[in-house]
Amino acid sequence: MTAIYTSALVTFYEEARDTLLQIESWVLSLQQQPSSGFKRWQDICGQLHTLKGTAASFGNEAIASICHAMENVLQNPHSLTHQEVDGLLSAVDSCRQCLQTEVSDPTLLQKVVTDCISKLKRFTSAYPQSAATTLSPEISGSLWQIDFTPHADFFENGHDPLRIIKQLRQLGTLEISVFTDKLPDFADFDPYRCYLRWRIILQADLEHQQLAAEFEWVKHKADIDLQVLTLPKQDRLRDVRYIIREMDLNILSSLIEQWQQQLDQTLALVQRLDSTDKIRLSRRCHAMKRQQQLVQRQLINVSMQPLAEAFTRLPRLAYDLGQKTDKPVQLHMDIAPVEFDSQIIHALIDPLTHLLRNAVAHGIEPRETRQQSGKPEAGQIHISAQQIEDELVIRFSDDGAGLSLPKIQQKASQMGMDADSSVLNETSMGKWIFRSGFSTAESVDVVSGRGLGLDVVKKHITDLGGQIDVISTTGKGCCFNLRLPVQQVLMDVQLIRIANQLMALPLLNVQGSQTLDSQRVIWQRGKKWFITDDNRQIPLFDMHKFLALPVEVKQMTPAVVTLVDAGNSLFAISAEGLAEQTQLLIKSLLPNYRAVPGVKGIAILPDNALALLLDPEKLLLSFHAMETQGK
Amino acid sequence: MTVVMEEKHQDYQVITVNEQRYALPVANLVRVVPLRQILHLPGTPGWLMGVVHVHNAIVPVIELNAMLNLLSSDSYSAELPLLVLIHHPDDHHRYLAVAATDLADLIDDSELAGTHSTIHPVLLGITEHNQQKLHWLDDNRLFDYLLRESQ
Repeated sequence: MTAIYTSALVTFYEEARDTLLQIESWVLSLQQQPSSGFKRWQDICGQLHTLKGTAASFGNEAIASICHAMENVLQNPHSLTHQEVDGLLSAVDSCRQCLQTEVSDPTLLQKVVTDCISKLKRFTSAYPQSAATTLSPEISGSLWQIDFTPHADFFENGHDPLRIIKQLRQLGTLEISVFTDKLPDFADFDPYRCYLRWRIILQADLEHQQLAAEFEWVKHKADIDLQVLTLPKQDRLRDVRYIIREMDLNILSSLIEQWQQQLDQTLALVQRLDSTDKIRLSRRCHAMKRQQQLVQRQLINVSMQPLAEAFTRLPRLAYDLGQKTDKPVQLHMDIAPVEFDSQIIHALIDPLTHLLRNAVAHGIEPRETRQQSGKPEAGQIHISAQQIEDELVIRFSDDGAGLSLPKIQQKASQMGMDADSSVLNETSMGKWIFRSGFSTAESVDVVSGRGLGLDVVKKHITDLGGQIDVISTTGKGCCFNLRLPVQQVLMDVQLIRIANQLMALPLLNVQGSQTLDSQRVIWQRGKKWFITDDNRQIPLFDMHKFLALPVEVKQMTPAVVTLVDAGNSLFAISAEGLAEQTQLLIKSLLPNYRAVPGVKGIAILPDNALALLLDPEKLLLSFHAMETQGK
Repeated sequence: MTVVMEEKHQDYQVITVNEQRYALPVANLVRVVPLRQILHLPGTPGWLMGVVHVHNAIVPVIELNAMLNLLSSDSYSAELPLLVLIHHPDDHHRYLAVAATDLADLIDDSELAGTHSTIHPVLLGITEHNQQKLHWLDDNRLFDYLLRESQ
């Protein structure tokens, strides 16, 4: 297998999974918005068709067959029935099974495919079977498979297959296979007839139309099949950087640390060499150092994941749970488009799954009960997630029956709650329901096992240094609030130099910087310093005092004043110089240490050195506290 | 303070910090790396040397002699080229680092049997080992002390 083919196969697997996720999300969204639009329907059919074509090209006939059956169901836009939704979701699951490399039993796989297709065929009788489909002229690709089979009389009008191949070579890199199976015995060979056919893999970002144009003059004299093996990079639904595993990430981090250490040691040794060798080796070492820093920055990007990744599975889970319990559920999600440390993203998946199972199994009432209470037939579950300052705040609420106070009271009594002193209420029950072994379920059920099991959820959250609390109102629903410290973010910062060290200020808070020889007026009132800017009197603070630097460092002359917006107030700090504005990885001092007043986090500089990321609002409070203490 | 030790065998790594010797539970050792690029944090105790970026985390670095008030006149300025990274005994995602001069023996805690008087909350006890004073560290209390006493 060639490298180009292996690379294409890996990309196919990634894109197939993403396409299936898109299709699944669309099918589930039809439950809530039955008319999602003709355009979206067409888009999904286009994605399905591309998946079918690429699967067939890579010899995955199982996926190609299932996609074909799905296409037949979706051939004409219509309101999907519950059975059709169920069939399409099962088909998505079957395709995923076919993508699992560990599925090695062909009989089992065949059964999965046969069952799936026969299920889908039940829905297609009402619609005509799709005819042989052709690629949309608008479709684009970056890796193409071209099956070029000239007719026997191809040469009669002066056509030349080699000319076409030469033209294709100008479009990109080619891998060409020629098939000689039609070549006759020499005695029957006719030099005026074409017996050969070609399979060409072309690596080039092209639209279908552009590629088809290369065959325009010979299309009536040859069979031409153009298939996209890989979509253009911009069309890929998910970047490859997100597929790295946590364990691999840690290994890579350690390797880069070792790499850096070895380079530092090598650089130190190079200094001992004679001048000629020293110059040559120094250059080489510094080039390697730059490469190491580049890899390190790439790794930072890899270690971040969109927050939405933690919530991807929930819509499908909500649908499946609704089917199992016969409680229809509508899931509404509002997830902020931010990226977090992949450790947080992975660690959130289990507790969120657990909360959803609990909500459907124990919170949402049966249809009849909901109708009697005047609630919508489908249980409403709302999930929001956003970053508020240094915390990720997730709110998970349902409009079900709420937690059962009498049952919790009874169980709490069994677990040792003092009956005289404790009257359980909607506020105090929180400390009981998160206890290990606490369950109000009378029997084991298929959806959520023995009951709440919220101790597991709490453990996951506290392991991340977070907190969870619950608010429940009987008959109206339940709301869980999860708060997690954000340990790693990318942030745009302004670097400033104070006392020979770099410090970072969030760029959002920087109003501007001026050299001290400009027209700004600096003046003193009592022990306090001010600057005048646009007729405003702005307090000027000494960062040396905040840093509690030794006297000799304090005597360094400030050269720049930076205006800092601290929310409701503006203040200025003096610095020895300005460095660049850049995007840096910021890590929290938690959970290994505590918050430090005036410090928002630690910025990792490109050379792996560290810098304090200042927190303007808390820095201002620290300055005021120092003034009060007379420092 | 008086501590009664449980009958539970554990291996300890002896490290030296200038002239002092400390024993750390091997089970919680993560790695030993060269100490470099340390960042001082303003408004923190003198025994907290600062933080380093290691093992994909920001980790506080402790100068044990300063924490235990065992500084001799010249030790504070002496070189501490190593960083011994340990994780919390109950939470493998929490780390701290101890600055060290060198690694020494690997011993088990049989030498810590009996009752020991200690002079500091982070110590299990002090014994004589190879005719030198050896400070046995309680890593659980070390983590607690780091957060509590640095407020």
